[in-house]
Amino acid sequence: MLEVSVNHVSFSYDKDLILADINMKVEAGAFVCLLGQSGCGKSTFLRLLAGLERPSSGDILVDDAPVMKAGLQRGVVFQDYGLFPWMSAGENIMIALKQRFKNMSFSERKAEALKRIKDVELPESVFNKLPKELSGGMKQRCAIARAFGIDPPILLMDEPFGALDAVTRAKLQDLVFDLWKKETENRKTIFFVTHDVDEALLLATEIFVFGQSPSKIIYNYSFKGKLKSDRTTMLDDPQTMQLRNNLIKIIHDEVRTKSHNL
Amino acid sequence: MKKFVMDRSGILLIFIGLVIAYELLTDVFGMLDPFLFRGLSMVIPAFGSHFDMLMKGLISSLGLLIPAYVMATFSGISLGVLIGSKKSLRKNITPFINAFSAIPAPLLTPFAIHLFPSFRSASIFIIFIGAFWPTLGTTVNAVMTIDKRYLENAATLEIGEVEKLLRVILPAASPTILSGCTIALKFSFVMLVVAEMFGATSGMGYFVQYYSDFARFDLVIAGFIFMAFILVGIMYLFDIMKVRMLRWTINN
Repeated sequence: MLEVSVNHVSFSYDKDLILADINMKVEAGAFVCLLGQSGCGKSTFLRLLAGLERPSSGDILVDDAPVMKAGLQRGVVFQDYGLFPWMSAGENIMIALKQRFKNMSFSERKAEALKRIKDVELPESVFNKLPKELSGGMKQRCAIARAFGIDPPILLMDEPFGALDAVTRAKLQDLVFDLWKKETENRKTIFFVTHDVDEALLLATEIFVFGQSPSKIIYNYSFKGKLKSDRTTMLDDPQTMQLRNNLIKIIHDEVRTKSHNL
Repeated sequence: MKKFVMDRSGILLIFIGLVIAYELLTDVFGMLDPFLFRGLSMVIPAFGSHFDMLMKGLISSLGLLIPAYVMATFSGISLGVLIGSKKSLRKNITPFINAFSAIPAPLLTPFAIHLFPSFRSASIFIIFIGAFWPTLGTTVNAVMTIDKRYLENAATLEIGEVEKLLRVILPAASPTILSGCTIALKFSFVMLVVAEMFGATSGMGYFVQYYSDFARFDLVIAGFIFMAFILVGIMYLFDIMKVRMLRWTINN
């Protein structure tokens, strides 16, 4: 159970300030959606959480230990799937398992990879297929299988369904939510980047809205202690709809204000 | 077999067209200088009468080509990966790579003969140099331009250095590296002729050079054709290997 705290984090690329004074405290097991317009710095923030970039100032602590580099503690699911194209889907999962479970034999890794493939509702035959032989949705399922396979306490997902069609996206949203929810003990803390308000409302236990670059957190909403509606009841729930409208307005106002200032 | 031939019907047609054109220009109409351009009526018998010598030459040439090419590939890729993955090394060494690779390998012949204990080792060195620079240059470039996402992906999975090299860096860079290896293989053949110009007593390059000195251009042309067939055969095998290794790429 790992708690994540982000303290006064800023990040500049060359001389451009991308993120300015980001602060957040996230309890272990939360499903955090980072919401905002494209290009506002959400993905950059996720890269900082992953350890792929270092903050220009401030620090990111996971259970009081600073994030210094990328590692298995924070699994990442990229928008472009992040599978190695020269390895089969099975090998992609197995190489991750090999790093995570050093004592696991080859046959155990293979069995575990097959189990993970089945967990994400893919047929076993996918194991030997190269990523280029799979559809976008299947590739993302493999990436999710790999991410859950290494069982990281923290999972970072960078617009993982952004490139998928609406039906596949809905199925994968449910899949990720179910995989996360079914872990009753040591439930993963998920940071999920999206620009889709409905996706955030559906998945999140906590929402952080990022403003336009240089980005700050301009709004934060927590579902903690509140009854959360699901896909079927969401549209009929006045509170959720009010929150939805509010989030859309906040994002639009931010974009309008920043574009006026340019 | 039928499919194999059908797939290559275009190659066969062009080959037949070239043979007919050459025959028309030489034996039939005599439009090319008959002293230099011997017709097929002379070249084909030359093949038959010197086939043993050509085969002996092939074995001898492969004895130079294989060790030189293998060493060039191994050292070119190893050094290329090292230089390509270390920015500081790349920055400091690239000017020297550019400078040395610009020296035509044939000009190094006297130095090679002086430095190496035998003509054979000097010949291997000349072929090695011809194949080494293209392999090194393309490997440095290939490693340097690997998609950053693959390396980041490896970092998030904490893949160790050796496994990263073998299972991430080399496969990711392999399309460009293999292009370099193809160029290097062709260069090795060119260098083979240069390398067999001194000290050799047999070999495909030696065969061409030897009969050229005696103005036996029927045998020179037979030697050229033989070398071309061997190169095409080797390139074909190389391509099979390349397609297998690069089956993951989109255009394969």
